[in-house]
Amino acid sequence: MSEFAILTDGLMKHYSETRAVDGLHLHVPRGSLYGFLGRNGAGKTTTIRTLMGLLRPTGGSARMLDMRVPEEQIAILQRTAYVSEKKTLPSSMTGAQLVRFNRPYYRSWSDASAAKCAQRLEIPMDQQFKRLSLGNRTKLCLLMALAQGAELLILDEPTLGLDPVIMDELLKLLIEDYAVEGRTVFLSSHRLAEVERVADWVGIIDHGKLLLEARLDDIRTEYCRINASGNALPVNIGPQILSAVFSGSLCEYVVRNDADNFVAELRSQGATILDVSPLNLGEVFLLLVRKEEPCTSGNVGATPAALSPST
Amino acid sequence: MYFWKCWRDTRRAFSIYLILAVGGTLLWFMGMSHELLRGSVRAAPEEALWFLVVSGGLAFGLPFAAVMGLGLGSRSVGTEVGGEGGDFLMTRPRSRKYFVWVGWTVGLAEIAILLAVTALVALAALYYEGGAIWRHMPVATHFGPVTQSPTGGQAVNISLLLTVVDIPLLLASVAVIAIVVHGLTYFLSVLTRSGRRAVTYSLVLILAFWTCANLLDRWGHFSLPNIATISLYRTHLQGPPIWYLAPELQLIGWLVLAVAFPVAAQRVLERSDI
Amino acid sequence: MQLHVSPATGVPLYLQIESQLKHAIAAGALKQGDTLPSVRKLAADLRINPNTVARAYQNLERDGVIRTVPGGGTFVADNVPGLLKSEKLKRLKPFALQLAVEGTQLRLSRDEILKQVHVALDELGERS
Repeated sequence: MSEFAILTDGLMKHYSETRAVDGLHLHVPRGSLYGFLGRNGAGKTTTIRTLMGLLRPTGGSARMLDMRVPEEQIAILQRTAYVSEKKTLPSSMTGAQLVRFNRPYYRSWSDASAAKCAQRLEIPMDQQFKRLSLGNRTKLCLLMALAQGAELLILDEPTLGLDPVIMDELLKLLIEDYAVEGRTVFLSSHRLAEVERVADWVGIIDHGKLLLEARLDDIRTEYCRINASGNALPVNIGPQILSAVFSGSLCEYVVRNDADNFVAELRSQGATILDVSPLNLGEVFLLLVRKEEPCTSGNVGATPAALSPST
Repeated sequence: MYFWKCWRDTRRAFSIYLILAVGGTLLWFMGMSHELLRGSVRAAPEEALWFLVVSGGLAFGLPFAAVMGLGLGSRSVGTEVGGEGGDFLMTRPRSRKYFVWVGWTVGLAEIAILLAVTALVALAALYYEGGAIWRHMPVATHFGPVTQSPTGGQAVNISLLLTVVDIPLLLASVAVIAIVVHGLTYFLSVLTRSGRRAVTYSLVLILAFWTCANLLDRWGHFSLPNIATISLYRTHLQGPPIWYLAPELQLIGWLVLAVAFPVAAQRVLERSDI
Repeated sequence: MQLHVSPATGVPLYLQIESQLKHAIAAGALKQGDTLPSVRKLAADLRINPNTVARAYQNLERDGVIRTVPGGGTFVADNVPGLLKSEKLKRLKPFALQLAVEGTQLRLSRDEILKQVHVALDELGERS
């Protein structure tokens, strides 16, 4: 058994005009809660739909739970739960009917878990799906996936339409039932604050390529903001400086790796260090994604390989 | 499971067809037999009732079977994919093949039930009116060109119609047309992912075929293999046909085509992105 | 005792937990032998990843701050051992630096800054 729940090797999904997924190398460790982040149109949903067998890959390969996508899709689906980005279910059925419909497909299905979800997320189970509000639709989709008792849970934007209270309950459910059971959760989102709380691994995708994949705590340790003042501050003294913004004699540097050395170097050049603080996920995200945009010179772009799985 | 869901999705259409078929059959046999047996015509009971079977089959049975095939074939896993349930269904641990064939089988079963029930109701009505008339089924004996229109004219020429139409072939053709139209519409519904488009395209194809067959029959002096007129095949040939197959073999050919539709639907679905 | 973590600061969450627990022990809010919540419960309460909590507990256990009895829970260690003096000083240095920068920027004198440290130490002493 490999240590990865999802592993892709140069996965590609090209359409005639666009390269939605363009050589993706994902490594999702088993037992992790992996946040898959990116802007709208970055390729998150296409990646997930390809992994779920809904789309045929144009190139590369992917494995889920050590099985090949899409050749062994049925066995994969038996052990994988999925909430699609559309948040739709067969529209003429009620929640209770959908539960009855879904149950026989899975050996690991749990009615207790379904009941718990319905109660905790406050889902009306006796209304037809098409009459539900967006938030309730999302919740019912989540229930179908959570009660399946799968080893791997794939959630595409699972917080669509949820209010803060339900959002909080969902996070609790995910932690209680998934994260501690050693199951893997792979969730895409652009709500960074939630991901930052619950995820332990993060992958950032843009234009169909992975910009960064790392343990979240490592990202927090590695990226630093340094405020310094002094005359003749260096403009660019090494590849680890991701940005340097000057205002008068002050400069705000963002560095990756070896902040200590850089601070020492600045000091030796007579600068005063005012502040050294870590970057949060949102700041790292903006930094990486903005850097990809064509107008900026990308001489110091973070290479995913440098931060790839290191345990 | 998916069988249950397919039944759930089509049961309303099924019930409507069932009511129409049973009601229509009863009305036709009860109402018309009254007119023929005790009204102005006063025909011999056996001949009159067989005439009702043949004219009812030709005038109502064939079109109704086609409508039934259109209606029951218009729902498929394709319409789910085009609608709201596609992502959910296609990520259940079953092959796409499974979804295509289950949907098709449920439709076929419903058609079989509708035809069987209608046949039973018709038999009961016949028995009520004329006793066990099926012991003496008229045999089509008229070979060669028909110079007089069998159903046209002022008076209905009962005897002539009965000598022209092969009754077992007619009954079989009603079943086959329902199955073929169902298959065609089902395939189109998987292809276009929309029930409405499937019915439209299916109808266009059927009408085009029907028009072509009629025009060729009339002006081109040869016959296309047409299920609707297959019961007249032995007798009603105007010119040299391009199909020399026996009508029974033709019907089997149509059934093979009907099974080819879900196979094609499966191929289409397996190759496409959801 | 209640822990709070804030992902937005960018400080790794396991470090936030470690420092809060250490602080609580130093301040006497947690005493020797007190039970700590399980990884599972703490993670669910804080809505954070259990692996993060586990990592914090592992580090604390390695430092001898807490001990885990297999199957029996997690407790504050009996005698929190001393680190090497040099290690302790190294850990304290960034805080001293920050204090110095802030104090200087606020144009406080050296004595005034040091006095604040004394006051803080006194307050901590009263509570424990």
